[in-house]
Amino acid sequence: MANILDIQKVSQSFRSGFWMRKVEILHNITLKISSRSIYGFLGPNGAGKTTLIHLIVGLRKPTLGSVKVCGFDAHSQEARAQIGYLPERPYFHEHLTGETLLQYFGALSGMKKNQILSRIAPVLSAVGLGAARKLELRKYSKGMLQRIGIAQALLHNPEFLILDEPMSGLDPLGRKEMRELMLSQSKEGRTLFFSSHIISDVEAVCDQLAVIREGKLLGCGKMSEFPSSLEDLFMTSESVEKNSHV
Amino acid sequence: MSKNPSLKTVAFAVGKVTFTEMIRDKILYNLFLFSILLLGLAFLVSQLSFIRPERIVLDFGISAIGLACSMIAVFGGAGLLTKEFERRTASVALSHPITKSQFLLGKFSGLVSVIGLNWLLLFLAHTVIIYLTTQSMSVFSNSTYFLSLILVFVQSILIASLALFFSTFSTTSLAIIFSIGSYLIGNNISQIQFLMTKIQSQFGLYFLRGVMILFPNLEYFNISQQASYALPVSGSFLAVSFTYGLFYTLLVLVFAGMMIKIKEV
Repeated sequence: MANILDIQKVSQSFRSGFWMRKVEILHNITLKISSRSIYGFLGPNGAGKTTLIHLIVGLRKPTLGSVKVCGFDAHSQEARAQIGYLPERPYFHEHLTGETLLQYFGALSGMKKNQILSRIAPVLSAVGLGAARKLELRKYSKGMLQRIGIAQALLHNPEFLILDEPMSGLDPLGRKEMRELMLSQSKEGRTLFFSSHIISDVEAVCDQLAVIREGKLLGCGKMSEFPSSLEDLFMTSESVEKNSHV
Repeated sequence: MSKNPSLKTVAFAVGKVTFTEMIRDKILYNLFLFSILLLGLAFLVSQLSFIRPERIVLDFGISAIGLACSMIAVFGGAGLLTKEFERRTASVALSHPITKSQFLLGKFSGLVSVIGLNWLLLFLAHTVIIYLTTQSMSVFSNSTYFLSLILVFVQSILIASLALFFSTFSTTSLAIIFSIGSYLIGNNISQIQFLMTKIQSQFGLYFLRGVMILFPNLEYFNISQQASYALPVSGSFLAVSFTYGLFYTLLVLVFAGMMIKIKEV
C-alpha cells in the first residue's frame, strides 16, 4: 500500500522568551502512513501533536527533516490540495453562515462555483448540519462548530483528512457522532489522521497508532501490534520505551 | 475535483469575507459619523462667510473625505492581519492550496472595497451639502473637484497598504502609530524640504533625506486648493501622482508579501 504521509527525521524548534532561547518541540520524528487507514496520534497535552500537524498541513516548515504528503513537499500547494484539515479549536469568521463559510473555503480550495454549490448540501447533511446552513456561526454550539469544521475539510473531497483533537469539548453524544462520521469517511476510502489525548477515542476507531511524548515518537504501528494496554503505554514512559520498537 | 485557485479567485473570496466582516465593525461607523459631522461643520462654517461659501464647503469637504478614508485605511488595515492570526482564522485558510501573498492581497482588496464604499457615501453626502450651500449643481462642471477626490482615494489606498505592511511585523497598536506617523510625515514633505534648506548639520541633512526617501510624499494627492478655486491641474502632475501612488502601493505590498512569508501561523 502506498504511503500517503512520509515524515523523515523531522525536528522542530522555536525561539522563545526575551533571550530567544531555543526550545525543541519535536525530536527526530519518522513516521509513514499508508493509504486508507485511520491513524491515531496519541499523546498528552503539550507533547507536540499540534506542532507536527502544522508541519503536515504546511502551516510551518520543519527545522530539520522532510514531510511529504502524497509524494509532494507538505508546504507545497500540490500537497495542500490533497488534504482536509480540522484545527484543534475551529475558529471561523463568526459573521458567516455555514453555507457562506463553505463557499469561502471551497473557493480557496480551487473549486468552481457550480462544484461548490453542488457539494454544500451533501456535505452539510453528512455532518448533520443541513438545517443550520443559513445560521450565523456565532450562534453555533461547540459541537456544531466542530462539525462545520469537518464539513469544510470534506468539501473539496480530499484524499487525506487531518483532524486535530476532533473530539475535544464534545459531549458523549457528540463524541459518538464524531466517531461514526470518521468511520463513515474511512469507508468512503479516505485516510484519516487524528490526534487525541483520550485513549478510548483512539481505541474506538483506529487501526493504526503513533504515540508521542515530549516531542519524541515512542511507538507506532498497527493497534494489534501494541503488546501492553494503551493506558500503560500512555501513562508511563518506561513501559512506553519498551514498546518503542513496535 | 479541484486545482490550485488563481490569484483572482483568492483575492475575491478573501476580499468578500473581509469586506462583510469590516462593514460590521463599529469603528467604521464611528469614523463615518465623524466625517459626516465634519461635512456638516463645513456647511456651518460656510454660512459664516459672505464671500464664496462654496469654496469653504469644497475645501473643508475634500479634506474631511481624505481624513476619513485615510483613518479607515489605518484603523482597518492595522488590525486586519493581526486579527486573522490571533484568532487563528488564518490557519484554516492557509491550510488550503493558496499562498500567504494571495491571502494578503485578498485582505487588501477587502479593505480597499470598504474604503471605496466609504468614499462613495461621503462623496454623495458632500454633493448634497454643496447643493444646500450653493443651491446649484455647478460643482459638477468643476473637473478638478472630481480629480481631487480620486487622488484622495489613491492616497487612502497607499495608506492602507502601509498599514497592512506594518501589521505584518508589529502589533495592531504599533501599526496604527506607524501608519499615522507616515500619514503626518507624508503630508508635510514640503516642510521637511524647507527644513533641509535651513539645517546646518550634515547628519541632520542625511536624516531628513532618509525620511523623504522612506516615507510617501502624500502632497502628490492634495489638490484641494485648486479644486476649491476650480483651477485646472496639469496632465503631467496627474500622471506623476497616479504613477507614484500605484508604484509606491505595489512596492509596499511586495514588502508586505515578503514579511508575511516569514510570519508564523
